Amino acid sequence: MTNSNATKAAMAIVQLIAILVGIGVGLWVFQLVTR
Amino acid sequence: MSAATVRRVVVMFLGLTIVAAGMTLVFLSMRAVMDIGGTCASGGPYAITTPCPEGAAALLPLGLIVGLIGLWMYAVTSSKLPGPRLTLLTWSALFLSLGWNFWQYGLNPPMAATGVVWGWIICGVVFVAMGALPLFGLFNRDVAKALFWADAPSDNPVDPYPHGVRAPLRQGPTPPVSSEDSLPDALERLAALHSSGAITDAEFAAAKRRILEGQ
Repeated sequence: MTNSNATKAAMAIVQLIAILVGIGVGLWVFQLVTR
Repeated sequence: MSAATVRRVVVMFLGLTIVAAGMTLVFLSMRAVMDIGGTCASGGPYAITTPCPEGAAALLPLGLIVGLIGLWMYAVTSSKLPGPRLTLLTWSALFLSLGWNFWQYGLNPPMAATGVVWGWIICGVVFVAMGALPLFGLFNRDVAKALFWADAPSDNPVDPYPHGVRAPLRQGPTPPVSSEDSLPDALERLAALHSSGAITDAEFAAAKRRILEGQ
């Protein structure tokens, strides 16, 4: 896999999406359990 | 993009999603417990004065365990991919977010408590200090690049000795050998060649003359 800035930026976006999805899942599970 | 790389990206994505979800659960369940004064109990034979909020107390250890599993998935795969390395920063994210809870509830305590809850403020100071530790690495460009924004390691490292050629162990010119040491040896080798029949009498005489003349 190349180490170009474009590849790194793509990885950063993938990781940002993962964090946002994870926060959403955490909020959803918390609402589900404590309802 | 190879199949192995795609697999790494998928596992990395899942791992980081699980880390973020686990950390969110820990953050929210800690707030739920602090909302009722910071301590609670559930089960057991004793009379419970402050029951735990429904499900919230179990989510705290669960979030930590699940988050650690996700962190392992992320750390293993992201180390082989280019771009952000957030493994160390999850430490900061966890302690700073929980430190935020301690500060917020310490300064504005819930329920009947009034004024500042110094026990929570002390916890807040400790948590913020612990969470800030990895962030000092951001001040040094080289450290930050190595820890937080790295290149992917090469799957096929460059062979320093292409075509099987190895560099000599010792570099530089060969040290000269004194003629006093080499002359008898050369004559002995020449005599051995002559006696074995490898060279003729004429060749032997010519070679011997060249050796003696130092050519």
